[in-house]
Amino acid sequence: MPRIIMHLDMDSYFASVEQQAVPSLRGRPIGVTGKPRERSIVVAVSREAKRYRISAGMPIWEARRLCPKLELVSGSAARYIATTKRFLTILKRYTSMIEVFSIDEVFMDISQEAARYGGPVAMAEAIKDEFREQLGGYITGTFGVASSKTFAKLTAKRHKPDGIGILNDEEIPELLARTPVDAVCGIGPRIAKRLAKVGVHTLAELGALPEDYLTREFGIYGLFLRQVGLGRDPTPITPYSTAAPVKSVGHSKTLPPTLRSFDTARLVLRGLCDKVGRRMRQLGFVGRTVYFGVRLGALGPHCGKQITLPLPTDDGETIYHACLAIHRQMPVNVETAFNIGVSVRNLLDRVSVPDSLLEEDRRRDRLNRAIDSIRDRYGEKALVTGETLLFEPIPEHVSGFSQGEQWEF
Amino acid sequence: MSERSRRPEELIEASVSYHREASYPVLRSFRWKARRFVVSTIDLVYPERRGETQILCYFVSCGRKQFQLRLDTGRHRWSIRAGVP
Repeated sequence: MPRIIMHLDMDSYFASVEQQAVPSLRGRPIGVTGKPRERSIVVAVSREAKRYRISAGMPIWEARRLCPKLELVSGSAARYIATTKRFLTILKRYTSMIEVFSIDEVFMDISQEAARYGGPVAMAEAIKDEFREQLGGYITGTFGVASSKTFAKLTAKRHKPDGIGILNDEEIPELLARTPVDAVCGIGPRIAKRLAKVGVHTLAELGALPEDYLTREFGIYGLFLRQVGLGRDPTPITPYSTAAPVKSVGHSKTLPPTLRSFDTARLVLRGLCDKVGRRMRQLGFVGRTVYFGVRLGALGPHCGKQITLPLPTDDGETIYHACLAIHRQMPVNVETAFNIGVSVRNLLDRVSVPDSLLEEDRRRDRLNRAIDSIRDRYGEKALVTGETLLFEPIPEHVSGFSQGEQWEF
Repeated sequence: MSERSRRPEELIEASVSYHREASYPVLRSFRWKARRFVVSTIDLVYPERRGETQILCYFVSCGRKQFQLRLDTGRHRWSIRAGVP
């Protein structure tokens, strides 16, 4: 039986959720942003704003230049996560083969289920009806149906907004001939540039390249490129129920230009380490390898190093001191850092590691557990280190929306 | 820039109903500033967590007026964050 893959891409997702919440924003060009500063960017735009050629990731000043009446709205991760959970609950009633690709994109293998609903189009229409009823009329999604993930996504992209697109296998050769390589998810500007150098601009031209050449140039990824060029993508759906194992726990933060100094970077780092430690304890992990990295400039180089601790830890203070040790070995001036990040790798289940025999370590562990139970009950800001309070001048949502919120389906 | 999140909250009285198919209490009306507002549409409901307390945030329309309300599910207290502009 041929595979039937359905891709759902929510339309202007964050902006639509805001417009659903506040009817007076509907029909108006809005931009969702996390930062109340002109230097910041819009992370999502409404379909009305897209008509002014404003796109996600554009600086606010540039968006305002294109559309002076653009309204800026502060985003809320809680709103988007709750809405995603709600639409996933609807989708789970149709199939269990759901892969959550991102907060607003889902792949479904409906090979078994489509016939029961009268075919993929009827199934997509039924889902749309449920969305209207349960999410509200302003939160819509576009469906793309094809025999593979790559082409289902491509089809959805061509039927936005609020559409349903079907790609039959006999239409694939024509699609390959007119689709530029960088239209495909997984082929970024760098790969597209390398392909352009050998005269490859469309998927059909990519498919004509010999497999040997592609694997020599791109390694194992060349095999994927070859398949896509031939109109095939055998990548299976990874259902949400088979969650990938956690390999590292990390956080990063972008520093506002006015707050870039060694002292601020150190305070931010302390806050990040505290968050990493807290999350590791929540997840039940300890780790030995601490990574500290900085990005110099928005598109600048990334510089990072890691060290391995003698004993695994889930203590924010220990992670912080490890980061300071890494920083002393790094040839960069932290004052020029645009973004700093810390992560702990080489994770082990906490229960598999014996408790330390040192009284100092045991005391810290007891302290961390006590702090965790207070935070569990009264919220993350109920108890913080004195130094972390100096962290306040930096807006809470400086580097995006997630703010430590977990989303599991 | 939206100032929604910075507004103070004020406790209010609300009238709700419970439906088997709804995962949250359905807000019918509320009293605020000596006036009764009848909810015409619940535009969006989402949960937020403050420690172990779950807050349900409601965006509602009462005719042409829009409001943001919150239900502290632990204390069963309704509050309003004034009208949404």
